[in-house]
Amino acid sequence: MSFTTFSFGAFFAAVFCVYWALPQRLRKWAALAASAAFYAPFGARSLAVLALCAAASWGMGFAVAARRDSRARFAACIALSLVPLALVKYAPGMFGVVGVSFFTFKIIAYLAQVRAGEIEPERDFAAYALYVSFFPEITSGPIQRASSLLPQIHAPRAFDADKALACGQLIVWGMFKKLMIADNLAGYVQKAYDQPDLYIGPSVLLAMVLYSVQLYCDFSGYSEMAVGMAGLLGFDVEDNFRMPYFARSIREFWAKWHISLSTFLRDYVYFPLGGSRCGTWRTAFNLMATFLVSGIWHGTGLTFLVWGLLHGVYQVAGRLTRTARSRAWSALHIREDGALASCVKALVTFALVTFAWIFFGAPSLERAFDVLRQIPSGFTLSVQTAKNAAAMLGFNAHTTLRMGLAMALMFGVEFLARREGVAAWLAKRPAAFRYALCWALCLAVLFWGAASGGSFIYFEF
Amino acid sequence: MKRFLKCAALFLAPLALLCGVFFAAVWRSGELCDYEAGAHASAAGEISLFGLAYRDNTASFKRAAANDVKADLLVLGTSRSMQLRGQFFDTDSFYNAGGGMAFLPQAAAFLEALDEDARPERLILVLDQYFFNEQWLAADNASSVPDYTQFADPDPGYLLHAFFDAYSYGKYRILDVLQTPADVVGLSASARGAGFYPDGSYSYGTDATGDGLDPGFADSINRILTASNRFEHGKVVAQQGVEDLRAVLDVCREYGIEVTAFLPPYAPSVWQYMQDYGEHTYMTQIYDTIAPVFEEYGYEVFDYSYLPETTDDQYLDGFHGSDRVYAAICARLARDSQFLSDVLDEARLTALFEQDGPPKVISFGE
Repeated sequence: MSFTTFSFGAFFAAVFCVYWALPQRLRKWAALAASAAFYAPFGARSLAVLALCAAASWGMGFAVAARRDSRARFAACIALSLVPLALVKYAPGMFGVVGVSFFTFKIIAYLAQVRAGEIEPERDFAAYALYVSFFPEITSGPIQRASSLLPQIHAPRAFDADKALACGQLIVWGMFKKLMIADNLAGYVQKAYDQPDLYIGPSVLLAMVLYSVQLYCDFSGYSEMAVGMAGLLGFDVEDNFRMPYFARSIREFWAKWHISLSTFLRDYVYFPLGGSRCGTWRTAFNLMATFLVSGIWHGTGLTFLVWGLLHGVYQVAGRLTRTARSRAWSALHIREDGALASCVKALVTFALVTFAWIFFGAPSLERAFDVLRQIPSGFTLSVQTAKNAAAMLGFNAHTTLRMGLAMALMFGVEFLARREGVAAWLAKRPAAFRYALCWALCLAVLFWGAASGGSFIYFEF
Repeated sequence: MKRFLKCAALFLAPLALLCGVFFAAVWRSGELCDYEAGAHASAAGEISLFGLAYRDNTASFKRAAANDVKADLLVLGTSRSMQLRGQFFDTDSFYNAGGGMAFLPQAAAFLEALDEDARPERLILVLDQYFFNEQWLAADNASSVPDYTQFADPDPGYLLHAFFDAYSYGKYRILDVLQTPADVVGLSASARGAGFYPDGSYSYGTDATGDGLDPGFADSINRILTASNRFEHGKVVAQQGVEDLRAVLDVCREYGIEVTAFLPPYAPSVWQYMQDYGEHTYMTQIYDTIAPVFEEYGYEVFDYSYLPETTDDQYLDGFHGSDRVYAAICARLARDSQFLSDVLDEARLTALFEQDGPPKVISFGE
């Protein structure tokens, strides 16, 4: 079930009613049953794999806790945990298991936290199973840590109306980003990626930029809905995105994009390799290795590998040139932390990220290079060229206005809320403003949202 | 909890009311109708215009209706055959099954899917030029055959959303849809007067009275330049297309169906653009390639790709002529065709073509 369907809405409404109607001690079971019911339509085999992984990793938690000092035991448990993910991704003929990338990392994070002594192995299998399979998070994250979610499962909170209203607003915001922006942009972007040689360079470039926006709105919109839904059931989930396209460096970008994954990779790949506490070249190696893992986690194709390695190169280059860049700002007499420098840095970061997304979004390396090769074609800087570029992708005056307004609203609100997050920012606005904004977002989705909502892009990982 | 529920209710109530009004319009328009029942009712003349906006099972619709009508004279082709009206022909036993195929192999499948007593004596087969284009034929579904018994069920959630979207483009007014007559089914029919008549021919409704579907043929030109969507480039006639044609003619011969075929017209300026552009030279070779094949079967074929007597404003878009263009085609058939000369009156058809009035519309004086 996709979050943006009426059937899911009815399902969640039923879960919400049952959950809060039950006594506190039974709510865990209600959430677990809802998670099973949510996951079941993906197939009995997928459900069996999920159940098996939950059961096996629950047992492994005790094994790891019994010998926390045994690296071999821990490594074996991690290796076993990775088997389903490896099979799904790489074994020919293997059936897909929805969310395997996400719940595998949740399991690994749990085992790592048990080994580090941050938490004790979970004795309650139902609570553990709920942690692994929690339905707002299972298909596309966030990859919430056990130390964050398990205590909440054991001590569910009383219903908080203010929090629930804030979560409802966050869900509306996420739906707006997904249905109004991401799904509408998909139709325009896909054409240029499918046959780049049929479009002029500016069209291809526009499609690249719009793909960046589409991917962000698709994924962050989903995450916000997930956070909102978990919140409506009384669970706090950390934000997964914090306005990453305003980041002023690639390093900052990764502190703001898919935060649950980047912190996972930081804590369980980068730091164990030595992080930045080694020499320059070892640090560079650690960064490259971490982003290589990120690329592989996202997909099996060479394109994901290239995408991951590109970000590794960006990080390494960023570290190596930090001093030189500071000197350059000084030489230009521009404050490095000033508005002008921040703008330039944000634009450069966005350009680098957008370039890398070409490989992320292309079905093959060959297609990615086709896209790149096409960029200089017919490239002139003029208003007419820009109009032609948009028209070739299928934009007309109406759709340009709608999408322009939607994206301006999205970026405007997120810029204003960049320090505290959209939910917290909205909570500080007057009630009338919040209601008006949410009504406007709902009306935009109803009237202008893509009629056939697409699946979430990260659902495929 | 009470405060939350109260706030949620206050927030959702206006949205629910809005959705309720639009859902009523969805229901009233007939978009939720049983598609197959609609096909039978249309064939029986109980529905004067059947035009669903958000489901397309034209192939199954036409098969079901053709089975009911059991016409002696049947038209078969893509959307470029749908303007052949029953009123052009001097026979009551007519049905336009245009839209019942998208690829040439589907023509044979359509005829085979008809009941034995529903198969026509005479067939007008409209051969789109791209049936003989290599790139077009390389499409994944080029050899696929639809399940003619399959009718799509309505998806109320999708329909509701699509209704909102269409409303935002000003495609209809709620009050007009809520007052849809009982014999008009579907939002396209209700809002735009677009849909299938009982004889199977198609009305473009308000698109025929306005600027058409592609003002200035900008989309058609874009397709020519991007070699896409029925305007794929091609230097020579694809042999596969000729083989597909033979397979259709074999079926017709087996069932004793007499065939008159023609290549339908492009808007004159679009045709000229393609000639000047030089990447669609296969189109000018089609007739010479297939004429001998038709002669071999004892059937007839005509090349109406370019009709100099027609003008651009008589076309809905670069490759769909209006009623007026198809009156011109029938006037030519009256003159050229041996098989159809008894059911076509050249003088009457020429008068229809030259009739005063909007360029895309003909009045039959009903």
